[in-house]
Amino acid sequence: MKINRAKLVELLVEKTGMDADEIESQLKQLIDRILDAAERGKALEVKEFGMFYFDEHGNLKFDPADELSTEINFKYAGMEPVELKPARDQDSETQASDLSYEEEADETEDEPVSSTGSDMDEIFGFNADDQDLDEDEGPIEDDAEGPDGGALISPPDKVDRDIDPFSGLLGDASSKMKGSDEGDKDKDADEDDPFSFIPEEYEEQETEEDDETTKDEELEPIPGLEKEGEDDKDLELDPVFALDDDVEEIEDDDSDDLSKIFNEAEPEVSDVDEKQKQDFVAAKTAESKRDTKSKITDEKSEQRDPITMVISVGLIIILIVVGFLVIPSLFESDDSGTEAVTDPPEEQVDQTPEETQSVITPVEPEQETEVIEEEPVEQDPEQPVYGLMGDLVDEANDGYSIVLHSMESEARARSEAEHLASDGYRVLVTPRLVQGDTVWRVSVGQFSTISDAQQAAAELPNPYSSNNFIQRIQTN
Amino acid sequence: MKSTFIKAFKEVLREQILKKNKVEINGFGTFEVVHRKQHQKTYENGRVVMVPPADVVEFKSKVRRSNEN
Repeated sequence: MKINRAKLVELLVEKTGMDADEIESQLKQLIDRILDAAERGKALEVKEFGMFYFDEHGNLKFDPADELSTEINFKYAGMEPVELKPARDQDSETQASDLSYEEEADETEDEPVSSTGSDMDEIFGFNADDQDLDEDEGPIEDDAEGPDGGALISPPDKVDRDIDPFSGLLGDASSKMKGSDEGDKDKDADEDDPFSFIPEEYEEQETEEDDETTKDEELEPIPGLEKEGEDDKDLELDPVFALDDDVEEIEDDDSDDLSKIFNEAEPEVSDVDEKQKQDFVAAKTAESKRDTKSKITDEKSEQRDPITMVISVGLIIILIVVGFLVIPSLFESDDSGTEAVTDPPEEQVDQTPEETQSVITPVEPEQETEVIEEEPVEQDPEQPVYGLMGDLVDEANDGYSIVLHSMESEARARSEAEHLASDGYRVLVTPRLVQGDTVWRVSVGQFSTISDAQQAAAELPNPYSSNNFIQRIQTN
Repeated sequence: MKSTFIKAFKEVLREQILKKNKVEINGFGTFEVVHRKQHQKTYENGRVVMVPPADVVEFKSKVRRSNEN
């Protein structure tokens, strides 16, 4: 159906109650004002409707406001672009196929794939073979989809690269002895440093061993030929595999060393802990600190054995030194702890009442913007105008709502609405004409912006949190 | 210009566009809803994105800028 100017005036008369002549003159004023502003190189924005301006070719253009776009696009609300392939420089392997891309996407952390990706594919009914490409992008597509793009990586290369690092590991038995010898040296060195953390040492050691191994076997692809990303992955993976393979071996050969380390290291560690605890107490009472220290030393001296006396004296000195080093950090952490407690927790800012619409919004950098204003919305001091819970507020009907149900039967929609209302939600039931049929949409909440609504929708209980969409509130 | 008029103008246009009606204002332009199919968009860096279908407002006007500067 076509609405011409006469029909539009008729509808406006119906809406406002003004007479037709007045509407006609108002409409003329509005159009004149829009064109006048556009002629002066300005964009005129009608709040919550859109912006009129002349483009570079001198044609009058209209950019619908977000509010209008959302409302018009209500059928596809919530659908977002789905990335099928990432940018080439991020991960060039994905040229092979969509399947491999899916796998890659799961593995690589950097991939900005939305969690809803698979769902959206279903919704779109997307078929990977159906390349319904945008005509506007023609030359770019040719570049991206062309054979040279695909030939960046030839499949055999890729396979080799995937396999080689691991085959190197499989055949590492011959070099294990060497590795463990090396490990012994490392451990000897470790014993000099009583405070080193043992598991880390093992990982380091294994990494070194692994490097050694792959070099010896000469199975590694030349590093220069590898893609950087893949190189990184290999480096990340290798130590893990090496640990799995070699754990048994290490335990068999080096159990003596291990026990040595543990036997020596454990009591020291516990000593340190004890010491730290006592120091912590001492730190609180700064004056009695020295007394505590002397007590500790007394305890130690009682435990002295003629055999280990010299060693324990050395240890005590070390521990005291370490204790002094630890005390300042204890003070710091203590301070920060109290600060955190004394700081009042950041309060959730209540939803700010709607801004009065006197703000002139710069919309396009090169164009000044005039804004047609409306009277500010009245605010209810007791209940925020917008929100998820509470009673419906008429002034908030220019906002957005979260649709939870859409039903053909009004009675069922009403009963669902009652159910939701009894839970304390603001519930709206609105009919919508969708493809010739009237559906009754049950929605909750009144929000001033789409993002507020989306935020609230994410916090709804199941199953609503994932099964909803935002629509503009319409009450007519 | 009265704010009630502006408000009514926006509401009427919104309602009519939503009903898939084409709103034609002589001497200004026409508003209508057009459907955009889902399509793949390929960026220069090889990124391919599936753009969902959408209904969008389209405004067409024969009004042209009178003083090109």
